[in-house]
Amino acid sequence: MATMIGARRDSRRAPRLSRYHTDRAARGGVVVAALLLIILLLAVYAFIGSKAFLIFGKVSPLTFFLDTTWDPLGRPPHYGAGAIILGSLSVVGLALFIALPLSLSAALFLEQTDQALGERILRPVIEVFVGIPSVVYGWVGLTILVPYIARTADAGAGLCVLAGGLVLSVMILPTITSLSADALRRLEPSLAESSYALGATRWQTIWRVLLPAARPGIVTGAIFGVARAMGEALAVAMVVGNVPNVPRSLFIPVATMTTIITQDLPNRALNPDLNNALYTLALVLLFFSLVFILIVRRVTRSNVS
Amino acid sequence: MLRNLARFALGATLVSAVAACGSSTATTGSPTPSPVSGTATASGSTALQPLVSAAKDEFEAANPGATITVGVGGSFQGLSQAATTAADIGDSDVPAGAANPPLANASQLVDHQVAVVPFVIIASPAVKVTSLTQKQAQDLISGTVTDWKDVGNPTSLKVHVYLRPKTSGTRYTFAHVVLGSVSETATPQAIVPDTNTVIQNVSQDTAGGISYVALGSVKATSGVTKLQYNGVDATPANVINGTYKIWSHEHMYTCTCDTSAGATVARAFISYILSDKFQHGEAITKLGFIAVSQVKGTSPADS
Repeated sequence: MATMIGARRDSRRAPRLSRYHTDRAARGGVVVAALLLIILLLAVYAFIGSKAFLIFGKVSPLTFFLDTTWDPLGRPPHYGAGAIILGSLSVVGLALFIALPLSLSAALFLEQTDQALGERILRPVIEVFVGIPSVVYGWVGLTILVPYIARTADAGAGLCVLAGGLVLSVMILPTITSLSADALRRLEPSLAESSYALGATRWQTIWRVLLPAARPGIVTGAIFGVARAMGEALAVAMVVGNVPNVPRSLFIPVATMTTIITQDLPNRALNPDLNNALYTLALVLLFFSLVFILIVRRVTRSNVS
Repeated sequence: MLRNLARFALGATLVSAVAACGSSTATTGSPTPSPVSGTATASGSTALQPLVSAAKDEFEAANPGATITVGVGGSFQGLSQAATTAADIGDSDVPAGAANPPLANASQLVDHQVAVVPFVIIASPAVKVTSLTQKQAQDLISGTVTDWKDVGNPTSLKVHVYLRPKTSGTRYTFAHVVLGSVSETATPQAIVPDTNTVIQNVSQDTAGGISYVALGSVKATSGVTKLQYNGVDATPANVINGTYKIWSHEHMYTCTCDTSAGATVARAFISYILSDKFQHGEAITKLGFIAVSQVKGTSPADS
C-alpha cells in the first residue's frame, strides 16, 4: 500500500519499483496456478491409479480385460470388462468413421470452396452445434433415431451400436470440422498457388497438397473428437441399450465404459469390489485419453521439424 | 438468509450424525406431536422420492422450524447411508436384508413401512394380449418364449425384453413376486436405468416390447398397454382387495445408532407420514401409492 501511494506521489522513480513488484507478484501467481494444475492432474492419476489395481486381488487382469461377462451383483459376481471396452471402442470407432469424411468435406467447403458463404453460414452453424448439450442429442436419438432404426433394419428395439455411433458422430462433427478448418486456414497461400501454377487441378491440389499439409491439424481434430466421444456418457446411455454384449454387429445393444460407470454407481455402496472395478474402468478411460494426447503431441511435433 | 441457515443446520446435523454413533433405543413420536425444529436428511429410492417430497412440504408447513432435505441415489445407497448415519432416513423400495453383502449396522436399522406400491407389466402397442399368467410372464421375461403368439397373441410378434438394472427396486420386486427362482433373460433389448425411459422404449417399440414399472408412473398418454396379471387388472382397488399380487412395501429406515439432532426430526417426520392425515390424504393416491393399513398381508418382496 505504501509503495502505491509513493508511486502516485513521485512519478519518476517509484513506478519502476512498483512495476517490478507487480511483475514479480503476477509471475508468482501464474507459476502457482500452473503448478496447481499439474499437481491436480497428477493427483487425479495417482488417486484413480491407487484404487484401480485393487480389483486384481479378486480377479486376474487377464480375466478382467478378456472375459466378457459383467455381472457385479451376481452370485458369484463376474467382472469381465472385455465386452464393455469393446463396446466403447466400437461405438467411438463408428462415430469417427462417419464423422471424419463429413467433417473434412465441411472444412474444405469452409476454407476452399466458398469462403464467404462458409464464414457467413457454415461456421456459425458449427459453433451452435458445439454448444448443444449432450442430453438433447441423446433425446433426439432416443425418440427419432432409435425407432427409425427399429423400423427399417428389423434390429430389435433399435437400441444398438449404430444408434450410439450416429449420435456420437453428430456430436464430434463440429470439433473435427473446426479444428480441420483452422489447420487448412493456417496453410501458406503459396502452397495452393504453386500447385495451381504447376497445372494441378483443384481436386489434385486439395487431395495431394492441402490435405497432407494440414494433416497434423486434422489428426488433432479427429483425436479430440474421439476423446470427447469416449468420455460421453449421457447421450450414449440413452441409445445403446446398456447391455454388456460383445459388439458382433451394428444392430446389437452394447454397453460402454462410461454407461457402466454411471449405471453401476449406486451399487458401489453394496459391493466394495464393484467400487474397485469401476475405478479400474475409469483408469482405462484415462489411459485411452492419455494415448490420444500422446498421438496428438507426436503428430503436431512431426509437423514442426 | 434462510437458505444459509438451513445449509448450516444441515452441515451441523451431518457432522454430529457422523460423530455420534452410540446405541440408544428409538422411540416413535406421540400421536399428536408438538412442533419440532431442526433438520433431517432423507436419501435413497427414486421411486419413493415424490411421496417423501410431498410429505416434506406438508410436514414443514406444520412444523415451521423443521427442514427435511430429500436426496435420491437409489435404494441401496439410501440403506447404506442410513446404516452409516450419513442420512437420518434411508428411503428404500427393498428391505434392508436384500443387500448383499449385508450392510454394516444392519441389526440396528429400524424398518418403517410407509406405503404400498403396485407394479404393472407393460407391453408395446402392437401386443394384443391383454392378460398374462404368472407362468407366461416368467416365460417372456426369462426369454423362454420369444414370440408373443406362444402366449396367445393372434399374430406372430417378436418379444423384446426391457430390464431394469440390478439395483432397481422395481426389478427386485418383480423378481421376487413374479419370477421366483426363474432368472431374467441374458439377452434383453436394453437395461434401462429409469422408469420414464423404459416406458418410452416400450411405447415406441414396433415389435412386442415388455417390461414392468410402478403403476403410478404409467399415464393414459404413455402409449403402452397395461397387462392384467393372472386375469386381474392392475389397480389400487385390486391390491386392496387382495386379488392383484404385484406390489411391495416402500420402506423408510432409521438407525438406532443415529443419535444426532436430526434423528428426532426424522422420527417425527416418519410419524407424520404414518399418520391418518397423510396416509388417507390426497398426495398418496395421486402419486400412485396406497396407504399401508389398507393392504393386508405381505408381499414376497418384503423380505
